[in-house]
This record gives sequence, C-alpha cells and structure tokens, in this order.
Amino acid sequence: MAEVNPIVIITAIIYFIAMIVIGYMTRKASADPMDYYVAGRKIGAFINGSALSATYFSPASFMGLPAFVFLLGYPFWWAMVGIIGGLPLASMLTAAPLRKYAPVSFTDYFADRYESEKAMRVVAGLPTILAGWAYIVLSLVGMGLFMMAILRVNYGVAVVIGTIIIFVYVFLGGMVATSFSTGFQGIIITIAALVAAFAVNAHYGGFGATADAVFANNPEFWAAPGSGHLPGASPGDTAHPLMSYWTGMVSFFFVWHFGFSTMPYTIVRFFTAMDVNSARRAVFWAVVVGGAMYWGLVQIGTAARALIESMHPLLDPAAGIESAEQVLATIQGIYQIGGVAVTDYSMVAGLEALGNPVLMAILVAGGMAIAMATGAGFVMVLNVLFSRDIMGKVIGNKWAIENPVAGMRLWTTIILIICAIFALNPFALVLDLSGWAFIVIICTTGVPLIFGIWWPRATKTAAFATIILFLIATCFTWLYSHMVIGSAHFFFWYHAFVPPAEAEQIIATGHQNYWIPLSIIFFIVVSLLTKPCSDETIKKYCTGLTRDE
Amino acid sequence: MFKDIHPSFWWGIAIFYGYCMVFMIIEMSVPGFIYHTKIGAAPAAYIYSLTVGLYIIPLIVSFMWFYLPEQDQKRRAAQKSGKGVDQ
Repeated sequence: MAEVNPIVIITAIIYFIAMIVIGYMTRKASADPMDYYVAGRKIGAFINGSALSATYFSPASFMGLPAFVFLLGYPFWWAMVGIIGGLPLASMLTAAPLRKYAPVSFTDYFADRYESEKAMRVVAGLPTILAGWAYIVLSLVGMGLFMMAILRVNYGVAVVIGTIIIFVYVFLGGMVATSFSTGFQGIIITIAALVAAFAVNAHYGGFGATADAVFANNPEFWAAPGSGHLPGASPGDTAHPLMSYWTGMVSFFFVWHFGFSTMPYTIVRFFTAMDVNSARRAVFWAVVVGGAMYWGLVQIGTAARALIESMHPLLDPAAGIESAEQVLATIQGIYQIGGVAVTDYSMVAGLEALGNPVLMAILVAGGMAIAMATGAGFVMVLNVLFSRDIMGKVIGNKWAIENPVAGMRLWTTIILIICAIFALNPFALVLDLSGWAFIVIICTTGVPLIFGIWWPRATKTAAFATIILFLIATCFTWLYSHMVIGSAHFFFWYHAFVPPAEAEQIIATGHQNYWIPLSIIFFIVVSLLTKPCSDETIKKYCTGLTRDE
Repeated sequence: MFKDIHPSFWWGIAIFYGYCMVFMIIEMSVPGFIYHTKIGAAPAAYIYSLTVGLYIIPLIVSFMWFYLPEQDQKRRAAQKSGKGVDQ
C-alpha cells in the first residue's frame, strides 16, 4: 500500500487535539450533575441539530450505507431518502413533547408514563443496553478501520487511541463536552462527504458523466426491482438479488426511517435543548447538516465500483485482481480484519483510487468524527442508565445517588473498556447488528414511547408485553435469517413458502422490518384490552405534553 | 390517537410519502426510467430522488414543522394578551 501523506497525518492529529481541548474546556460540567446529564438544557438549536445529525449517523452511515449503494445499486438510494425523510418526524412526534416533559434519562418517560418506577426501567433498559453495546462497538470498529485504512495504523492501536480520546472528553465534560464535540463533528462529517462527492463528480465531469461511467461499468446498477432497463432485459435484472423484488426497495426505505424519533441516543439530545421550540428547530438543522452529508454519500457509493475497477492502485489483472470485490478482498487480506464485511471498504477504496491526499485527509477526519460522535452519544445514554437509573433508582445504591457524576464516570470507564475489548476482535455480526439495533429499538421502546405520548389509551401491560415480545422476536428472526437463510435481509419464513431449489425471486425484508407495523398493531390491540393508566398520569405524561396552552 | 398533533403534521406526511410513493411506482413500472430519463445530461433521478426527495422535501417539511407551530404559539399569545387588554 502507498505511504501516508503528511497532510493526512497532520489533519488527524489536529482533530484529536481539538477533541481533547473540547473535553478540557468543558470539564466544569462535572460540578453540576444537571450539566453532566443534559448539558444544563442550554444547547442552542444549531449546535444541537448538528450534534443530532452526527450522533445519529454512525460509521454504519458513513461507510456502510455507501457500501450498500455500491452493492445493491440505485434502489438503495431510496433507503437514504427514507433515512433523511424520517428526521423531521421527530420534531412533531418526540422532540417537542419530550423537551416539555424535560427528563434526565431515556427510561424516565417509560417509568412515569407506565407507572412502574423500577420494573419498567429495567425492561426498557434491556433493548437500550443491547443496541448501545452494538453501536458503541460498531463505532470503535469503524474508527479503527478508518484510521487503519487511511493512516495505516495497526488496527488494535487505532481502536485504543480512538477509545482513549472518546473517554477523555466524555469523562471530563459529560453531556456538555459531548454536545459541543458532536456539534463540531457534524460539520466535519458533512464537509468530508460533500468534498468527496464533488471530487468524484469533478473527476468524471459532472453528474451525467458520472452516471454514464457507472452505467458503462455496471448497467444493472440503475435498475429498479422488476422493471429491467436494457432493451430486452427481463424483470429481475438488478444489481443484487435483494433488489429483485419490490419488497427490497420498499423495506429498506423503512429500516432506519423511524429511528431518529425513537433511538435513545437522539432522544436524549432533545433533553438538552433550551426549550420546546429550540428542540423542533434542532431537527431542522439536523436535516440541513445530515441531508447534505447523505447527498454526498449517495454519490460516493454510486461511483465507488467504477472508480475501483478503473483506477485503484491494487488492480492487477495479471494476478487476477480485476473486480472491485477482488480489490476489496485484497485490502481485507492486507489489514487482516476477518470479521468486517469486505464491501465496507468500498467508499474508502473508491476515493483512494482518486489518489488525492487532501481528500483522504478530509475523509479521515470525517470518518473518525462520525464514529466518535455516535460512540460518545451512546456512552452518555448507557452511563446515565447504569449509574442513575439502575444503580440509583432500581437498586437504591447510596453511593450512586450521592455521587451522580462519579457514578457516570465509573460507568463511562466500564462501558468503554468492555466495548473496546469487543472492538479489538470484531466478529461480523457486530457490524450487521447495527441495522438490527434500529429495528429492535423502534419495535420495543419506540412504539410505547410514541403511543405513550400521543394516545391516552396506551397501557402499562401493552408497554411491557411489546418490549419483551418484540425484543425476542426481532432477535430470533434476525439471527435465524442471518444464519440459516444466509442474509439478515431475507424474510425469515421465506423457505416455508418457497423451497431453496425453486427460489427465483427472493423476498427481501431489510433487517426483518415487518416487525415495525406488527409491533404497532400488537401494542394497540393489547392496550385496548387492558386497563389504562390513571387519569392523573395520562394528564401529566400524555395530554399534558401534547396540548398547547 | 394523535388528536392533539399540529395539523401541519398530516400535510407533511402526505407530501413526503406521496412524493416517494409516486416515483417508486413509476420506477418499478416504466422500464429504463431511472437511467434513460434525463434532465440535462444527468439521469432525472439525480434531481427527483437525490436532490428533491432526499434533501429539499425533508428541509421543507422540517421547516414547516417548527415554523407553523411557532406561528400558532405567537397567535395564541397575541390573542391572550389582547383579551387581557380588553378586560
């Protein structure tokens, strides 16, 4: 592999220093637990919006989604549209009511609305802990991959450096440091994605020329399910079997769509807003920042195959390295990270093919920024959950109650050590589980959260039953599809209807996301059949949050 | 259910899902539509999907969903203060 340009190294060092300085400057947050928990509810709309965007979009976005475009072709553009189109939903569904309620922890609302101070915190905490673990590990792995792929640092060293930097700023400044660092990271990520997209288009000579190059390289890229696009092409000629039937395009549109309104690490950012209007405005800024980033990422993913197969330095027809997959497999062999999907390198490899050190410098800053932002965001969710909610409110531990900041710092340390150990030896499932984490959160805590706010009839029994049942259902079906059918995106019961030998059109249901409508129906039915919460609770935590005075 | 939600919510929902559904159906029904339908030199998908669907509509909807409730709040506040003066 080529030597690292000094510009790339200097950019990375400046970025690391900036993160540590933000942590140091915000260390006074430890003096007041409310500053440490929710940044004193003083974060303005723009910083919060940028932070929302950076926290929400993980390495799964920055590396994984362009890799999906690279692999699945144009139909996956709609998944990207679904993700950004899902952001505004939060301004109406959760941002304003939850800011009005002004909780401290993600589980506060569940405990209050469903009249269960202890059991509900534990039950709602379970999917949060699982999703948080998957996302923090994913973030550390993504950060390690970026540093390794661009800075040529040993993977283990990269994970340790990245973990220490997140630890320093979360430990010192809690939510204040996390808000400002993440807001800053949101800008960097967007600039990186836009610069990279412009570089790709400049290389080819515009959108039209880029599209033509992609078409020349792989005509199937531009095919929608069932339509075919070449003269005489038969239905099903798409870039990937997952997009051979309409369920693929539509289901991927919805996998991440409701996540922004329900994911714990975005919900807690609404708690930090100055007021209800600021929380709503923050969502607008999240769309401004995050939408621009996705606009760039789609184009990078689109051009990645054409770039790699025409100009990557590792192309070697004499050695049999001709396709993008072969180049990526060669890179994977060089780095020796077996658990990571080979296509996850596609956006880095595509841009690497352009051979521009400034572009790679911007990319390394963007890649590390997005990984750190998500990792830090979920660490803040989990340290409050473990120290304040479980140790303090459920177990009643005196030390945790009397020393809230010390408790959170203790759990920050424990969480990051455990997740770094997993990240040092990543197994493939961890990276794939990021999509599952979305489905499990939306189906389990997401439905009782949104219906608890907007439907007075939502009941405690329905909340418990939905969280427990759909945690098991999403976990089982996802793992079954992944391990038995071969992809987490095939409908898990598919072979009950179509024997493997006769399978021509694969029924794709991205990350088993049919559970989302099913969990909504289940929650409504059980709520209608069971006893509602008290009038006082409904008035305080439902109608009182949604009615404008 | 969703009784107290601001009316602009339903307008935003109709705009976003309606727009996406129409273009998804066209793409899956018209062979070659995605690549061969051009605006200028580029496939029209760069405009209707990548730019308008992914960015412009979410921007408009998210603007609408903070601006209109704020205007309603101001109107209510003005009405309240107006009543106060009258009384």
